[in-house]
Amino acid sequence: MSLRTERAADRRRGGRLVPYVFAGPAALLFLAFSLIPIVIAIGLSFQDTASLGDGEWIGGGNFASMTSDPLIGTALMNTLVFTVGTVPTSMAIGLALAIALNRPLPGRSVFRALFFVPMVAAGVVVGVIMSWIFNGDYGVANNLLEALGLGRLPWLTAPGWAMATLVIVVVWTRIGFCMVIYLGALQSIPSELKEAAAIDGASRWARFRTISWPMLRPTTSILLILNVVFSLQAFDVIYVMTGGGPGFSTTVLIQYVFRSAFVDARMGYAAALGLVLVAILLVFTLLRQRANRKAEEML
Amino acid sequence: MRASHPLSATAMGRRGFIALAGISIAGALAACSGSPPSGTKHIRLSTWNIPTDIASYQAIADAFVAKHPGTSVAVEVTTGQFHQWFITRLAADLAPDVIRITPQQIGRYAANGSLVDISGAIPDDYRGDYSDPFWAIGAREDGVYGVFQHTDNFITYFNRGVMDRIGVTPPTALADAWTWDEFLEIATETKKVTGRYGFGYGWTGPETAYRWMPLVYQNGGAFLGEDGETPSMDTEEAVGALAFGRRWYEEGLVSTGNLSKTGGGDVARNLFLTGQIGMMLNNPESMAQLDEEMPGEWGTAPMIRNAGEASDLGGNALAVTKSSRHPELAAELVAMITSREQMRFFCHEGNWLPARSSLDAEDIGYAANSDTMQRFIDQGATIPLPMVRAQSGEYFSSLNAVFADYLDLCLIGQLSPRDASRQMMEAMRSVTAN
Amino acid sequence: MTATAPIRSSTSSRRRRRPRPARWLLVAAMAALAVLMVFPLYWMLVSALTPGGQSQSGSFYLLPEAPTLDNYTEVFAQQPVWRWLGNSVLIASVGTALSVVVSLMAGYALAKYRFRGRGVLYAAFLVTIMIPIQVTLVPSFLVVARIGLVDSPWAVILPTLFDVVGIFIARQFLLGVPDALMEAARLDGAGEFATFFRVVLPSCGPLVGVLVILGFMTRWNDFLWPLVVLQGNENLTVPVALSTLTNNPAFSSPYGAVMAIATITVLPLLVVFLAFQRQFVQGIASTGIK
Repeated sequence: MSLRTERAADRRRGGRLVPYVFAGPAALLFLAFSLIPIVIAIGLSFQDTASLGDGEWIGGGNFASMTSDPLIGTALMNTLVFTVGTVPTSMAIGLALAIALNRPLPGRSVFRALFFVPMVAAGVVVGVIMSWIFNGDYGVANNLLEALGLGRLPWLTAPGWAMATLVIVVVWTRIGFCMVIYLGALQSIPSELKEAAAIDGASRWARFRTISWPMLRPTTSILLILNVVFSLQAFDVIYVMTGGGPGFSTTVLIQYVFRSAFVDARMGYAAALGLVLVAILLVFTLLRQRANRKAEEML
Repeated sequence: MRASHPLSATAMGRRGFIALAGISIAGALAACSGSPPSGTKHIRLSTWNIPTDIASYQAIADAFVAKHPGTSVAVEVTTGQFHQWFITRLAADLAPDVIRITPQQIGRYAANGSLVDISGAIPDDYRGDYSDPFWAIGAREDGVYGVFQHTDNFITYFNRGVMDRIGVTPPTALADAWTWDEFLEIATETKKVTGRYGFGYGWTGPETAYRWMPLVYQNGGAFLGEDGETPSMDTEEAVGALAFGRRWYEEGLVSTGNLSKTGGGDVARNLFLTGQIGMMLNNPESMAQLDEEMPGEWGTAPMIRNAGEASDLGGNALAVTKSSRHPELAAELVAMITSREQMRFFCHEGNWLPARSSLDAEDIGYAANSDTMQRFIDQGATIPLPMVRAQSGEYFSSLNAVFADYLDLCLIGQLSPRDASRQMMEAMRSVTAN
Repeated sequence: MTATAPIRSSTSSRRRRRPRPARWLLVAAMAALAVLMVFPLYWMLVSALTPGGQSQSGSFYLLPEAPTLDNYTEVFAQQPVWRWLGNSVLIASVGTALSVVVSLMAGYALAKYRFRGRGVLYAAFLVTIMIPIQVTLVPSFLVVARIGLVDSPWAVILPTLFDVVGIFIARQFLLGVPDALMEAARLDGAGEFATFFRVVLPSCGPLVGVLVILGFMTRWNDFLWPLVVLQGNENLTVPVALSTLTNNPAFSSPYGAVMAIATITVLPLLVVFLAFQRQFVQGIASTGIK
């Protein structure tokens, strides 16, 4: 595409430098505030240290001691449950809403706005509000259930329930985002395609399956990766609402990273745990991309 | 910096001025980064965001500055999770000079060199006005790393109406405090009256799990052994305390929403205010709101007891950090704030309990509830020295997290008291072995 | 609901318009869901307007018996709330403005030029999304402290100028801008920068809109980083200030005050968003995140 463009650019003095000037500010900021800290953190993961500077190099010691840490298994399992609970749900509901609101419907712009509203609330605020609402003894959720003659539920106070409640809360914050992104993607599908299919007599479901869904695949892929990243890094809401409890039932990996770094003052170990989290994400992303490529080849 | 320089820009020419400005900026940065011009010694003090206390600290600081010309003091607030905030600032050598810190937080920093020994600035007569437990919070073998400023602890609050209906007259003297069995018996009756639960416990988040530790000591147990290091939650006494705690929830006397990890502020206080419980074990903080919302309807009794007495170790110490450029001056400020006179002022303004033994409720002249404040002051004497040593030890932050985990699992019934004790010991050992 | 929409529509396959009742059923379901979605924020507002006692009671109510602004008066009297709001506005707007420029330029370079290291740079950018901030918190703080920024608003603004999601969105959008547009400008003798600023940017309205809204939202709500670098009650942003009201081990702030500050965190953003949501959705559509 841009071969000719490039030649045209080169004709001018310093043409080759142009892209570097455009990308320069971002690259410099990236270097100073992302790359350097990441490199330091990688260094930390091979040290036994409470903060910085006083570390002792212990090679893979931090990674080795993970294998004998009983909490890690629990934290990984909880992370998996939390991620599987939040990601597909938010995306499915977001997609359903996007489809519903992508057609003429009375009040659809109002609905659109309202579904997106939870996204404007900061994580800390969501945590504070939701622990208030789901408080077992004076929260409005249980007060309502009781007023309706139903029993009170242990929203945040029984192990299984606490995780479910967190999932509900996080899904609540994510639906709007997924919906908007899907809505954008749906609107950019040429309507002629669908109209042609409709004339051919394809049912709505068939049209969705054969036209919309394949065309949404890249969007789905990006949303999936973003949602998994969000879920694996979900900290504020869990920290405020359950503190990882009751027991260990909502202690997820990122929670444990925080705890190792600051409660236990084991910065090196925390960095190592964080790198494991990053590795999980990278593997997931690469697998996802491979699956995508396969799917594209099949088309 | 630039303004204070004697030479004006025009006289020197632009280039010279810029060069000089650059040099003086670099010099100033090297000498004392962040400090205001003209050789003023600047001290920063960080406190929790409590408006009254900020005002009190500022008033004391102003008096300090008046006595020490050429100094200035700024009062700041501690943001976010304490350890995260403090570790980060220490790493960059930007921690405030003086820090308000709890006994449970101080141990790590006193042990790892983040706090400075201030024994040189502390007048000799201070030690004599402190009980052994309260002095032990900041004092280590190799120096004094903090001075306890104010304290609080747990006593029993009760709803007068509920007690009248049960026909119980709560004890008033420490010696007559309810024992565990008596207390649970009354709690069972209380539950019948409220229709919900019997009582509540004053945790306010996972970091405050240690507030339950006095129960272990009341039963003659200990969290850590005599040496202040060896985990000792495997004794019969400790297991007995866990079993006692389990009964609270098993018999529905305490709400499962009222656990250290389950957030949302002071759950016990909210339950008490709305009549869902008739008693609570809690600290003095609740009093203002109780006065406002149920005046005359509440009363207090001593903390419960069993084989022994014990209550929660609340309050804050003041310490000087290693980031301080003027540690001697900062230490003098700590000495001034913890002087008898200023402690009286601070406790009067903020409704806190004094850390010094020679101050009582009458000296301080609390605006309200003087009797109750005196009850808290008296209860403070039951805080056991071994518990203070354990909680102000080097690894307590981690140990407290472990305590929170397994106490939680035991109280909600996921682990039997014995299993909870065993697993807690295992986890504690792996912390102290590190 | 997820499944019913498509299934029901398949029964009415060939008709252009679904039968009325089903349509209204869908609207009703949407309305019910909308109530659920908005309720928590509504409840936040109700709690902020409820006097202490009632908000903790065990009985159900939808409106406070005697709504009061006491919580607000109290917290505004005791805390520098206006300062907090001012700090938030300053940090969020300056940060957003600068970062949009950085993202646009970087997105343009990545989308429209071939240069050595482009692939590596883009991949490296994307990987940073995956690094949890808890891991790099202390190292990042050291960098900022070394530059001497701590305790100034720049300590928050500068490190967050690099915004991977923004760069990603900008690149996606700019990939769709026809090369012919740039070609034409160059043939007219415009320099590379003039081409970018005078020809390409004016066609990026929706993109800029999306970047501004997303960027502002992220910065306004940002918590952990400002929490670490800001100091002094006067200098905090609203979400960080909220945390100082709840972090205190010896003193729990009254819930009314916390809820009042919570509403102050959310409402300005809500107003901005509701005003621009139409443009936002259309912008997302045209950026082609796909």
